[in-house]
This record gives sequence, structure tokens and C-alpha cells, in this order.
Amino acid sequence: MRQRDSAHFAEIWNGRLLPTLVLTASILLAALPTPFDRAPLPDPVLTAVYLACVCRPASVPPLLLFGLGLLHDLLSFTPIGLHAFVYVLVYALSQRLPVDDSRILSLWLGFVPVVALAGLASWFAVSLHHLIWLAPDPVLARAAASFVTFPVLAFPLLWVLESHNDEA
Amino acid sequence: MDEEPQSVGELIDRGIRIAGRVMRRLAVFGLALIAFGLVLVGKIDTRIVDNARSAVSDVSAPVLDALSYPIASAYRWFNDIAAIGNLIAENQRLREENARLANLRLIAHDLKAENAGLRRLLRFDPGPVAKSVSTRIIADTGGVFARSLMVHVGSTQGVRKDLPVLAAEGLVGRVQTVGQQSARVLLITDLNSKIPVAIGEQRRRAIMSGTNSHSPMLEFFVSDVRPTPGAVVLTSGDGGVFRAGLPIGVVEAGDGSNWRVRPFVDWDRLDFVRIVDYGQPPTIDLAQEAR
Repeated sequence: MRQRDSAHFAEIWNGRLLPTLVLTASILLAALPTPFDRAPLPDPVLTAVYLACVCRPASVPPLLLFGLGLLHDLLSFTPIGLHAFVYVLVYALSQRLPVDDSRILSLWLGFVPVVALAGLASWFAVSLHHLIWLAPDPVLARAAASFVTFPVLAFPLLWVLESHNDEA
Repeated sequence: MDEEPQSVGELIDRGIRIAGRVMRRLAVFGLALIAFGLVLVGKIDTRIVDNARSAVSDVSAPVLDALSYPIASAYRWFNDIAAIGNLIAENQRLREENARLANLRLIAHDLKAENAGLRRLLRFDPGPVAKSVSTRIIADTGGVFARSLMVHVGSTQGVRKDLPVLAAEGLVGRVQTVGQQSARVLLITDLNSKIPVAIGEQRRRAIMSGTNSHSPMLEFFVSDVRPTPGAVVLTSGDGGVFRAGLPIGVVEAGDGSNWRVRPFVDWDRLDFVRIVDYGQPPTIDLAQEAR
């Protein structure tokens, strides 16, 4: 009986709970204050969402990403729905990318269209929200920073996400 | 390529699979559409959103508070170690500054006595004594599209919406949403920040608008005279949100009509802020004055 319970818990943990916790933790960690306010900072949540969508698509259904996006919007001062919109788009795009999730170079190259789409979609949506065209420079700088730092963030995230991956 | 169905059952199975795929795609499309719609209509009822933000802040504040300690400590150690190399130069700079300040102290004593005399003469009412609460920043919740901070004090500590938030150098922003144990601060650099300001010794009125960059913009000048670079920008007190005279920054040389403000606050070194409640401004009882 106890064995069946622990097996059931492990199944839930490896299925939905672990990726959800990883994404929630990345949202919280991304909100921490940094002393580098003037430097363009990468978007660790986008990297985590992309990796989860590629490596464990069944564990991160669009509805979960929508909910986590709303949580991110509530935690930050961004317009409600912005991150939900971006994460659902990232899910849709990542399902069509010919990416080999066992090779970091393939994942890195696959991140190019994702970071471009996320930047463009968020810039367009926020510009419409404020009814002015915002300067695209900070978005481009953040996209570039996210792309450059991708391997640094991807290694620990992949290690956690792939550690108990039943989908592989 | 799927094989041709051999029986009615296989045909139904295949139909269900295709319908499932279509439904999943429609669901993704629908969620994206709902999210995009929320972004567009998000400005309509901000009270619901503000309440939800406060609730999320209250829940996440203890976690963020605990997580932000090691980062702040590591940064302080790094700064302390880096400062060791500059000790001699820093000591010399402080000696010179000390000599300058000793001079200024004498002037300040004279001005204080003169100010007290003038206040007595005018029967000046300085209003209620300001109450303040100092707090550490636990989250930088902005990003590219917003400039905001989260602090671990809320309505329980007397924090109210629209209270000014100050650093040692000057104005940081104002309280935007308040939970029981946390509050969000909208920075003066945020796109939604519009502050009536007074520029220079002539106190020329204008509006300082955030642009999500480090330098807010000056616009809607009341007079045709444009500010000079280096002029000090203070809150004007118009509109009643901020008390007059809070220091903000200095005017930066603009190209033509584009005037910017360089805030006094060093955003890279902002660890602590002070939320100040100046109370309601004193009202004048005209009937009593007439008597």
C-alpha cells in the first residue's frame, strides 16, 4: 500500500509538479533585485518555459503556462495577460521546431526564433496597451542577453527537468 | 502518413484523433487570444487587478524577502572588497568634503535661526510631523516594460496608496498598490509615472513623464522659457499627490525639444527606501483669518 502511494507521488512529482515548481521558482528568482540595473538582463523565465515546452511538452500544457503567465503578470507591474500571451505563443512555436532536446547546440539554435517571437509579441502587445510605440532597444537588448546567456541558464534547468523525465 | 481505415471503428478512431488535435490547436489559439484580449482591456478595471496584485505580493513577500538577503549580502561584500583598493583616495575625498561641510554647517546655523524668526513672524504652520517607515527592497518586479519595486511593509505598518517613496538622494517613486504585509512602488522612471515638477530657482512648472528608461522626460512646460541643463528638479506639489520640494534630479542637456531629467537616485545601489507619510496638508480657515 505504502509502495503504491510513493509510486503514485513519484508519478505526480515527475509529471506535472516538478516542471511547475521549476517555472514558479524561475518567476520568483527573476523578480529578485539585482545591482545591475543599467545592464540588459536576460529573461530566465522565457528560457525555462522554452526548455520545459521542448523537453517535457506533456508536463506543461498551455493552460498551465497561461496560469503561470498570469501569476508572473500579477507579480510584476506588466499588463495583465502579457506573459500569459507570450508563454502560450512560445508553447505553440516550440511544438513546431525541429529541435533535438539532447543537444544543447540544437536547443540554443531553436531558442533564436523563440526569443525573437517573444520579444516582438510582448513589444507589440505592450505598445497597444499604452497606445504608443515603445522604443524597441530595451527589448532587443534583453533578447540578445537571453540568447547569449542561454547555455548558462539551460544547463541547470535541463539537469532539473531531465533528472526524472518519464516523457523521454 | 496514416494508413487507410479498414473498418468503421478505425474510421471513428481516426476522426476522434483528428478532432482532438484540432481542439488542442483551437485551445492554444483561444488561450493566446484571451491573453491578448486581457492585455488590451487590462486598463478598464484596475481595482480588481490591483487587489489581485496585492494578494500575490502578500503571499510571495516572505519568500522574496528570504531569497533577497543572500544576494544583497553578497553584493555588499563584493562592494566592500572592491572599496579596499580605493581607501586612500576615498579618505582624501572625505577629508575635502568634511572641510567643505564644516563651512556649510556655519551657514546652515545662520539660515536656521533666520528661518525660525521668519516663521514666527508669519505664524507659519508647518503642518503635521511626517511619519516614515524605512524598508529593504525585496523584489525588482519591473523589467523592460515596467519599472517597479516591492517592499515588505504594507497597510499593517501604516503604508497607504500614493505615499512618496524616498532614498537618501531623492524621490524614488510612489506607492501603487498596498497589501497587508507588502507594497508595490511605481518608480519615477515608469511609463505610467507623471509628476508635476518645479524646475530651477524660478520654479518653472512642467510635467516629468517616465519613459521606462533611466532618464524621465520633461514635457508640458507652463512657460515658454526652457530649462537650463543642470537646473534642479523638485516636486511642485501640484495635484496633491506629492508634497512640494521633494528632490528628484537635474535637467540634462536635451536635443532640441527633448528635455530629460537625470535622477539623483543611483538605481544600481538602491537597497533601502523610506516611505513617508506627510499627512494631509494644513487647511486654511478663511473665516477665522478674517475675524
